[in-house]
Amino acid sequence: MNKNNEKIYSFLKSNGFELIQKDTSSFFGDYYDIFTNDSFQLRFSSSKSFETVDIRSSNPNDNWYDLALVKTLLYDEKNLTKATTIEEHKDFLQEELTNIADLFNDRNYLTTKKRLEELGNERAEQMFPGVRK
Amino acid sequence: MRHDRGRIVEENHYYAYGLRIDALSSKAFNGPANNYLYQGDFAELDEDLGWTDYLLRSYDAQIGRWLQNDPYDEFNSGYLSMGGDPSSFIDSDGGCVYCETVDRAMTLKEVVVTLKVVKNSSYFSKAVEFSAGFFEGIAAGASTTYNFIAVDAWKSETWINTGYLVGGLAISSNSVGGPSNGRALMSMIDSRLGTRLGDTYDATAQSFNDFVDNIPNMSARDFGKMAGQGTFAALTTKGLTATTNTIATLSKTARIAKVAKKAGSPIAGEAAKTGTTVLGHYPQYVKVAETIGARTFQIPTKIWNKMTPAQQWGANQKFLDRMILRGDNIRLATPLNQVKPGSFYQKELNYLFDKGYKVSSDGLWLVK
Repeated sequence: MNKNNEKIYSFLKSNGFELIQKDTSSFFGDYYDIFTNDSFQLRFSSSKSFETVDIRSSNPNDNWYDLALVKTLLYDEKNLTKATTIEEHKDFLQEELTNIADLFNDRNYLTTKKRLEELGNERAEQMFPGVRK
Repeated sequence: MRHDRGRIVEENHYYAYGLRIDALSSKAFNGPANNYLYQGDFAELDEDLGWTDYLLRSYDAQIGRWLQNDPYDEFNSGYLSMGGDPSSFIDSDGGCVYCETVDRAMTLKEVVVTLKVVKNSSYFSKAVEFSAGFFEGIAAGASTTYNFIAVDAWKSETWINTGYLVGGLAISSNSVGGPSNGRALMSMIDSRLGTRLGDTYDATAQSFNDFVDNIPNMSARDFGKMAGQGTFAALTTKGLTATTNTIATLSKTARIAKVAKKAGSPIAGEAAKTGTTVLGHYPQYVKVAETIGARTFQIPTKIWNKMTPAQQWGANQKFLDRMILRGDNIRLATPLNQVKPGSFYQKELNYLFDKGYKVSSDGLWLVK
């Protein structure tokens, strides 16, 4: 388990989350830790020193979504290509955990999923315009 | 007649693993640039980092290790340089130690053998297995092959022949499955009988690797064995013509298999295994690479953490350059709509888009 994340992990645990899966690679310091509260899952990970947080429903077959997109959705942000630091992710989780949970409850999940897909596509278009064959 | 000794503009002395001995080395002020340093082939020394960029990999002479994984997978550690024995082996481009060493030996012997096909082949890992099988095949073709090596060849006229034989045997025994087995053996046969089987070896290896790559049900080793048997038969009966015919037949089969692959035939189902690099965010790229047996960029955490971001990106970029040079298929484990702004993955993609790559219509591959 990543030590830099101890504070946020204990915050999550105090809010009913438990660590269900973790892995550490021998390369690049890559790791991931997955927490769940039975309603949705949060994945803290590092890929070549780039730390991030993803979210998905509790269904393991569902896609992971960048937590930055959830923030964009909640705050109606327009600039999708801005890099989000792990500290920003942690702050966002601590401030908005209830609202995030709302987005992933049974009633809202399908709409949330659709919006996150759209935002993901829009962000890809902004980051890589005209790269499709 | 008068002769004036010219001034020495550069003198280099090295420790075994290539670290320059500064106390014994010198370079004239404003002397010409010299890119032919330790090991003699073209390389670029980064004076700030102390790393040397060879054709395929970067090298740190302080620790005597390559900074990227071995593209030829020759040793247990992918970072080991010169096979851990720099006084015996060379690796002047970051590629294959054994074939390069044999290549030099062949130059001495003036045996005509080309290494370039295999060295540039994206099927190299299959070629390794193929060569091992080839050696087995020759042995299976006739047990007298071993007698030839063990008895007849020892009667060779010159010390070069003997030395070459010993070298070939050493390579074969040290590296069962090493890429040089078949070549060393064929060259031994060449030197003994005056044939030029070594000339056909690379073409054979290429054809067989094409074949193996397209027919995943047959292992490279088995196919190499078949080839070895065929070659031995050709050697003992109809000579080179028969060998050439065997190669032509198998090449034709390989071409058929390639057509089948394009048509989406299941016989080519795992064709992407060799020559495929997977890019993406962790952990997706690792999972996809494991599933399809593909290559990934890997730097051990300890080394990665000591690098500055610029060095990290430099190493990453070199990995991409080598991938492009090999002509690898590029698989995206993380689709574009999940790429994180500010990540290395985004940087990698931008680098490749700048090189003219595009995303395939299914979003899974980068294509030119």
